[in-house]
Amino acid sequence: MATDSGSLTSSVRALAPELRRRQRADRFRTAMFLAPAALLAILFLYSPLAFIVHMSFTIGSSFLSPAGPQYTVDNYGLMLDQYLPNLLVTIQLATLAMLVDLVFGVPFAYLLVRKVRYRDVVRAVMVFPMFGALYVAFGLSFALLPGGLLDPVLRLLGIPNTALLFSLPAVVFAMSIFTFPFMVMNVGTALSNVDPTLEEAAACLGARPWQTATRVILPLTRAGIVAGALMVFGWSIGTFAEPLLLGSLNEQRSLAWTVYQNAVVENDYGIASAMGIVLLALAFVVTYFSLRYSRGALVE
Amino acid sequence: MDSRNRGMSTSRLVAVAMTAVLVLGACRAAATPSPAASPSTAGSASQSAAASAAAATKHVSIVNKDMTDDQIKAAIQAEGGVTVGNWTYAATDEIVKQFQKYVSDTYGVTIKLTYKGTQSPSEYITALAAAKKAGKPAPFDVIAIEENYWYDATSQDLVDNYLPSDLIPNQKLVLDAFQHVPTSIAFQSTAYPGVVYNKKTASFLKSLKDLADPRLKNRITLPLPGDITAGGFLLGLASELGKDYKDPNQMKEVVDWVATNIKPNVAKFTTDQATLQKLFESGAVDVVTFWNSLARLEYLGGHTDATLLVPSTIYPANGYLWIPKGAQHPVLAQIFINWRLSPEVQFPNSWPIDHGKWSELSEGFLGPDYESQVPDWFKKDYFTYFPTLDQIKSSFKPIDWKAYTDSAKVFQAYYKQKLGL
Repeated sequence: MATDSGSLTSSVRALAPELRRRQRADRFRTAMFLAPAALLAILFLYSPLAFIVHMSFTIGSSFLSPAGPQYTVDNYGLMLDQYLPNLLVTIQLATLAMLVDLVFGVPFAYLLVRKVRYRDVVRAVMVFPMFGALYVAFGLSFALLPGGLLDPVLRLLGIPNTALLFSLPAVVFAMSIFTFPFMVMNVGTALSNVDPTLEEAAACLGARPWQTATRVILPLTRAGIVAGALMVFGWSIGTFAEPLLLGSLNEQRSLAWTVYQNAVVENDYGIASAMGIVLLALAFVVTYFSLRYSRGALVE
Repeated sequence: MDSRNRGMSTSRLVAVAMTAVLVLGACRAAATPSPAASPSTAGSASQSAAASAAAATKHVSIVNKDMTDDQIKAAIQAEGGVTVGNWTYAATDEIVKQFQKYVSDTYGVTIKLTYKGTQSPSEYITALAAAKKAGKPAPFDVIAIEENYWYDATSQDLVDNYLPSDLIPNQKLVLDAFQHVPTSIAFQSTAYPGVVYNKKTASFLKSLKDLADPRLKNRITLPLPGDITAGGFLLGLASELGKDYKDPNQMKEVVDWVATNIKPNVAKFTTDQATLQKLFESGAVDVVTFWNSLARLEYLGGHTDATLLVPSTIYPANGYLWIPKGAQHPVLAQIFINWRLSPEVQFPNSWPIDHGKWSELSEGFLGPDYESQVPDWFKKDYFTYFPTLDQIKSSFKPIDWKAYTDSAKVFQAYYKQKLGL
């Protein structure tokens, strides 16, 4: 035995250099496959990002000055002193859109997965607003104008057009329509992985529909719901078109819109970049958790 | 100013010399029309053109050469195109087509005019500054935007000297008040941020202060802080309130007045023309604060209740034409500027465009040579929407752009802060 084990050890030892060589070759091949993507990411994603980080520490448009940039950390100070309400409005809008999508998206996803026969058609109808937040906001703004589709309803209720046209509900509604598919797709994916016989079993054991929903379906699709909610939130923090077209002064404080005003209209790239970095940091955190829970949804 | 006077003296000397040449060779000179002058350019411009034609060379600014017509044609051929930065609404297919046709008809060369439009002109300044810093040529050959941006660009050393130039004889048609020789010249004379209102539903509106009237609750728009639209509006209001726009502290008081008295009536803060038109035309609001041109655009578009509130003091912020340093097509840039100043482009009566588009391209008299150009279809109402040349000379108060820029840094930031933006 001792001899056998000794010869095995020596055989392994003899093979070790070859294994190491193969491992190195594998690593090299992997690196070569990843290299183009990494290069593209560095060139077109991370280097502009580094540029923006750099610019966020400069005053106004001094980054473009032939005399060279003037450095400051005040932009981040301003973020706290002056633009914190803008960040809070952004989070408020994203949270409200997420809640609306949760309330309507979860039941819709259930119906889509369990009850709808022509699922692909419904999915397509549901998904297409995703391609244009601007169109959704435009459409809604026209519907709310005097003479628009919803004008008779507003007249009946005695609500002035501009009171609803430029309001929090209008912005949140448009944002929710735009992000609705993210919620439904995530929840739908999680629901597809839940065996329908579990619901039948619950019913056979005397569970009422609401009990089946709260004790069977929701716990099993929890990860998908959380992933959907985070994804909706993540998309919504960058909202621009909806506050632009449908927002009152309060919603016009959203950060993406403020970035545009500061950078494009006022040439203050320093503060606009600092705002961009804050938004990106927020988006990164949300994306991280969203991906983490998405994976969970798919596995479960 | 010095160089301009020098330029004018030179022109006079050349004109005297050329008169003698004309006497000796009138037939030859008359048979060689100057391609640089517009076909109907009158008075001194045509004299200068004829004189230059007789001399057979023209002094071309920026390239700083005396060029014959053949050399100019060759330069146009070599340049091949010109890029103009202008407001989005002005960047129409028709203007492109007309200028390309003009160059083709006049010089026999086919060129491409690229019109890059934006409603946020600071984008141009950024692009020019970025190109300059990178040591690259300017991405535009001509910039045609509000006067304050010319001041900004000049203070960043982005603007080239080009006036006077023999390629721009139409400069002489433009009043001195509309020229910043040697770097820019106006192509508008009556543009100012103004209030357009529905005379049926807001007939009580007589001054900017009336925007605080409670009857206008949720019925008005105000411009967003940051650019000249808001700046011009606040300047007009400052004048009514007896405040000096050059003093940032007094302007802060104006902003406070807006925040306290007008803001409660505001349905939307926007500077987007399409949104403003949509709101006004649908009747969602009675008053929009934008530019005076919107009043005639609405009127000519069939909204006959649209009218302009003429403030007691008018601070114009006209569009100016300038050539950035490092422009790649300086010859065509000057030809474009000359063409844009010609009476038949200032008043594009023969172009196949509707009256609304016409009213966006034509912005008042730049000088007496333009007064006869008002089209028949607009003669009756023209002076409801445009001032006379005398009014332009007497009622319009030029802005001290340096003082404005210094003051605006403070009061625009304060306005933004007051709105919480």
